[in-house]
Amino acid sequence: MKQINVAIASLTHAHVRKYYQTLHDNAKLNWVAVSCATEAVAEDFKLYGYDVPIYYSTEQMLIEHPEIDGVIIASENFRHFGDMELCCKYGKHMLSMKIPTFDMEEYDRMIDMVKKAGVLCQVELEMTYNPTTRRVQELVQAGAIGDVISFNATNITLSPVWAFPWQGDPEISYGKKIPLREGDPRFRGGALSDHPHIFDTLRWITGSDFDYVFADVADNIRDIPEEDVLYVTGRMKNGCKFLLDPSWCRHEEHISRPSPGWEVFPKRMEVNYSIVGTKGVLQADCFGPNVYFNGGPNNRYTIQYTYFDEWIGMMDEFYDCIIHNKQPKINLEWHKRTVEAMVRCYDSIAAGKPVYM
Amino acid sequence: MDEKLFVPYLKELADKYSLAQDVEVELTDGEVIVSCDKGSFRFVYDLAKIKEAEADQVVPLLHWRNKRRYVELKNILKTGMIEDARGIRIHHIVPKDIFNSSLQNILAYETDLVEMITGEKVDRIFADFSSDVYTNCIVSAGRLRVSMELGFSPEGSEPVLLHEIVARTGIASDVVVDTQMQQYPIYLLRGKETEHYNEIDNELYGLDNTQADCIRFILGVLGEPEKIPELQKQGKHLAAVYRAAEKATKVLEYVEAEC
Repeated sequence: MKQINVAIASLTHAHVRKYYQTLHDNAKLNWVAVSCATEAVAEDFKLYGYDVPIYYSTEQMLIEHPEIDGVIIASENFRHFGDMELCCKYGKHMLSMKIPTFDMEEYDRMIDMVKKAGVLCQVELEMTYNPTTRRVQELVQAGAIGDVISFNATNITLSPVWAFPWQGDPEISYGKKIPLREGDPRFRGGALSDHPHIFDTLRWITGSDFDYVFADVADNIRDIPEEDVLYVTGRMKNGCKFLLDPSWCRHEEHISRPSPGWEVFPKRMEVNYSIVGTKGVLQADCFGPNVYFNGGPNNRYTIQYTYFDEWIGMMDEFYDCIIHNKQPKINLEWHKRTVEAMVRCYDSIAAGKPVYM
Repeated sequence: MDEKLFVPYLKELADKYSLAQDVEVELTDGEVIVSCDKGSFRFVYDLAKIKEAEADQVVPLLHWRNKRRYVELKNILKTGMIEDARGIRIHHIVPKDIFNSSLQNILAYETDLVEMITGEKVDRIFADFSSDVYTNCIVSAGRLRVSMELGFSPEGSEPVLLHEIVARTGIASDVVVDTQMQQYPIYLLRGKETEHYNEIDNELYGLDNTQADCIRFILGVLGEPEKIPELQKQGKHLAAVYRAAEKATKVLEYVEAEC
């Protein structure tokens, strides 16, 4: 079996912990090195006990390890362009975090840069590899509920801003400090910026693209400078309607490292679909049912998740694409329209009106 | 309506709690007509039937106000168990029946419920109807925002009902965490068929729960008929919210609703 050599850059993204186990377990992936944005990040990584060399500069890591085939760019959103530039410079394939950038001009430059470098760039939208999502897509496309009238989904979580403070900084999360709307003290870069998955799934399941979006924000449930509760509705080009909830509407303890007792609400993260068709309704929970306990640091009734294998499928695809020189399902060009729809949601909040694509 | 149970139960409870004397009940399409010593009242639960000109002659039958689970959601907020509601998620996708006969009735149900639970008044609505079978709505009620998924499922389908309040200090919901559908107190497993029973009212045992809610709503009005003008005003407001939703669908704008 051929191996590919993989490194992780930065280690500051909230999802990075999910990769550790997969890179460690999957024999097709040879985990070569990591680069850490700061000393503190390195110290945190050392606690996991993996025997992987640590660098404090991604470029240094790439120079020291020319054998690296692919890099997981696990940095804050506003660093993605710079990290991609580096990977292109050294001819490395990339797995980008879920938001490459919200700046659509920068996004186009990313696409050009990747093309010119002749490397591939997969975008991390792990719900694509969730078995419930896969079955739902099969059922809908096989006509189980007839024609889809409306695709409704939640991607609701606690807020990561205490453990990953960059997500609470609009300039780092969104890339720029843009007020949500006139007279509102909050800025773009919160819950919506964290939850692209259901926007993407909507496109796959309906086989269509966004026509218009309309979004509105509630007052916040926590004191942060970004939106945390919002709702999005609209229509796809094929006429299918949708309603999405990408909120940070689950409460959390303000702890600096994700660990037991982080959640206040028993279920800290949910992705649910409610799809209404001409012949029926399909309800799906991508992360349930589970097992339950009370205990831990706060003695709260809590959900212990029982499956999280999305990262395995995603890394299998990354491997397959590198080995066979294939374009990943979620590549930069495909994902651009999803990110654009999210930006239009912010525009809609600002305008108080629907925004057409 | 289950005439054999509904009528005697209504009479029995009106007498038991000394709310009205000489009660006579007539069940007609979409309404319950009650005659008693306090007068004659047309309680209309098919709100789409109420014409503007007769809005002051009938009593909108807002039966959901007496459903225990909603009363308790209201109490959770009222007693400060959770504070400062900011968002509400609503799913109301059900087969058609006498109480869920049109999108107008479902929207009225959920609009009134939001207002009852939170004390906020719906002031704007964005909606985009898919003919007369389904609509998504985003609703503004003061500082509160509400997402509504309202529509019909095929006959015989399990109802999809959810009311989840997102507040600054916590969450309140009528659906169990980590489940997607309503749960029942009794399940009868017999091979391929699973039947369920929903006995939650011993005083009105055997009666469909929504019909039981209707009886309790009517009894409440008979006990305090001076509240009828307020209910009629609310009926007009709910009709205005529906008109705003229809307009929103046409113009695709956030449309103000008369309060």
